[in-house]
Amino acid sequence: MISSRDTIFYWWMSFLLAFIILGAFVVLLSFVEGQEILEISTHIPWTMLVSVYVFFVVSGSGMCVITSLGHVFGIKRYELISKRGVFFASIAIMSGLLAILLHLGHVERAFVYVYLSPNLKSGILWMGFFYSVYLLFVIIEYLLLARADMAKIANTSTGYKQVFYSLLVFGRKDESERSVHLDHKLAKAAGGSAFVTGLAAVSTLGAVFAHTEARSLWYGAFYPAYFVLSATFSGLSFFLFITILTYWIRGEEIGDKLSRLICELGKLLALMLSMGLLFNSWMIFSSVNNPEKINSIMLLINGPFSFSFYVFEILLGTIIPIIILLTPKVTHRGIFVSSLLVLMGLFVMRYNFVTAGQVLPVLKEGLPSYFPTFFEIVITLGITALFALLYTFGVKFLPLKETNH
Amino acid sequence: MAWEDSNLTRRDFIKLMGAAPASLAVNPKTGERRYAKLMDTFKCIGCRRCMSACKRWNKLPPYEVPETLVRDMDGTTYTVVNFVRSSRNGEIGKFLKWQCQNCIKPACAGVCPVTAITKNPVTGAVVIDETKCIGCRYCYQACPFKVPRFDFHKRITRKCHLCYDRIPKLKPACVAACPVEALDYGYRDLMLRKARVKAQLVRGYVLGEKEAGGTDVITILPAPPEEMGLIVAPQKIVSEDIDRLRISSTGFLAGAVLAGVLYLFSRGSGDKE
Ligand code: SF4
Ligand code: SF4
Repeated sequence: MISSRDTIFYWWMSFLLAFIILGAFVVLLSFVEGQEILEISTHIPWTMLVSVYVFFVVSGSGMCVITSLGHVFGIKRYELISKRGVFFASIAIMSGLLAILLHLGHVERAFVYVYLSPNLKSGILWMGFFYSVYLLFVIIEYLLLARADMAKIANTSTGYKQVFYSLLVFGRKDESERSVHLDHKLAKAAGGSAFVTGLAAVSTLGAVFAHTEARSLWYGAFYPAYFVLSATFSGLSFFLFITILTYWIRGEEIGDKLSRLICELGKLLALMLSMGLLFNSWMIFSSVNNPEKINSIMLLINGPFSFSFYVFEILLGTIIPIIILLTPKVTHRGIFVSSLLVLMGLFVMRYNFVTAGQVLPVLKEGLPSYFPTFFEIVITLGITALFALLYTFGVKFLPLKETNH
Repeated sequence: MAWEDSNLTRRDFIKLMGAAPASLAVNPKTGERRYAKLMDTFKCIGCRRCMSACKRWNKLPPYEVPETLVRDMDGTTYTVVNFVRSSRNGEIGKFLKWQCQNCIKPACAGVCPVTAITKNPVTGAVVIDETKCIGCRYCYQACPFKVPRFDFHKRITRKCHLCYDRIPKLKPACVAACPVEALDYGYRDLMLRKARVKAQLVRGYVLGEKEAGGTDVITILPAPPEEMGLIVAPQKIVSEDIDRLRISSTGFLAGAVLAGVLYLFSRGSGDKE
């Protein structure tokens, strides 16, 4: 018997698959027609795919900060969310890395020459290194955190299901107290390593932009630090958004402990957003008197990007969420709406940051177009669909749920 | 040489000759004399034979002239000749041949993740290894002159490489093709000397002497680059290693501060295992 829930599930999966196939089609098309179809202008070679990459991986590394509060820093109530958080981090990094690999002209060479002739002074090399290692650590951390639950399923099931879960636990189906204790210890080590590499990765990502002296908006010591800060609110808002949404869609009740934690995370989000706002304002005010910076800052505050800057980044993406989150007795609905707003604002922010950074010094007459090309949008939808597919898969088949142990 | 029939005094000339720092004249490691290319906008007649010669030598497809008639480099066009006019005085206008400046300390090579870009410190050529380039386009972002262009079909970044496969025995294809000797290739100190003398005579500007810490393409312009509407590169080495290290370290510092804050938060939250 197929229940109506299952029907919805299959429809949803097919819907996502359709987008993934469309995205894949565009990738193939770019091989036939030339990669030009993915570019607003030859002078802006980093656009949508780079923004999507930044958007996903920064959220993914921010999540390691939040989950580390539980396992690494030992705050017990945060352990509740570690499974979902770590799983989220891993799929966000995967989706982001996919975006950046698609952006490259020759992916296959990348994997060869980073070993054969690495340039140890290149930001991109280190960014790639840290993100790959980080991804490895979060995957290990997740498998350890979920091992006991998966072992239980493996022990009580038969057929394909048993094989599948046995593979995921690498055959360690022992459910004893001692082995669970060992898992926790190992997960703590993996979590600690993920914490360090995740922060290193996100700050190196900021540095990739900030190293380019020839791009006045990106250049300087500000962005590596700001990327670290913005990772926290990116990760938090993304996590709150998908967690609340998952419970709603599945029609499950959000438990007491989780409910309290969500409210706490909401407050934390407001705090981080305010700090981000403060940092950003400080950067803008300190650039006003800097002749090298002012022109590029003007693109944002009084130029082609100013509408999206004020409306999406500042108002919808920062101020309104802070107000909602700080109202006493804010509901889950309120937190959900504000995290959605923050996510939207963040996406626009990444896109603006990447694109506006490349306007000067070449495009003195301004941008040919603010909007990404049609094909770029299709690829972006494809990557987002892949992310959603991986997450749905996780919710359906993997232990993510917040349970107390 | 042009100074022979000029009204330049002998003293002026000696002053000009002596000014080149030794490190830019020879390769500091081997002591070999460095080479450079010279472009004189005062001689160029805008025939664009250099563009064709470049296409021929590098086996590149023909250039499609854009409607705006301002030629721009692209993935298969390494050099362009455009008429540039001074923004201060509209009567000052010259043909300018533009390409990669083959910087002495190329920012592009410094950032390439797979070391696809190398600089030959003697011949001056900055070459992208087309079999190595992964097409990340970081070199374009780092280049102070915004030169490297992406070839959308080969999916790699390409640019002028000073005909590394000809020099120094043969002159670069463009130099060999120029009918009026507006282009030259030879020892850098000589080229620079020539450029300085000419610039002094015509009150021009020597581009490439200080820009980006010095380049191995030297151009005699009728006026400074900002006035001629060119991208202005800073007069120092761009994206130096030490500067990039400084910038990276702020990110790590921020990470460390965050870790500290989280630790204090966990200490204060009274919810320990
Ligand atoms: S002009 Fe640009 S591309 Fe050419 S060597 Fe200098 S930095 Fe590299
Ligand atoms: S585009 Fe090619 S040459 Fe340029 S930095 Fe990337 S890998 Fe190096």
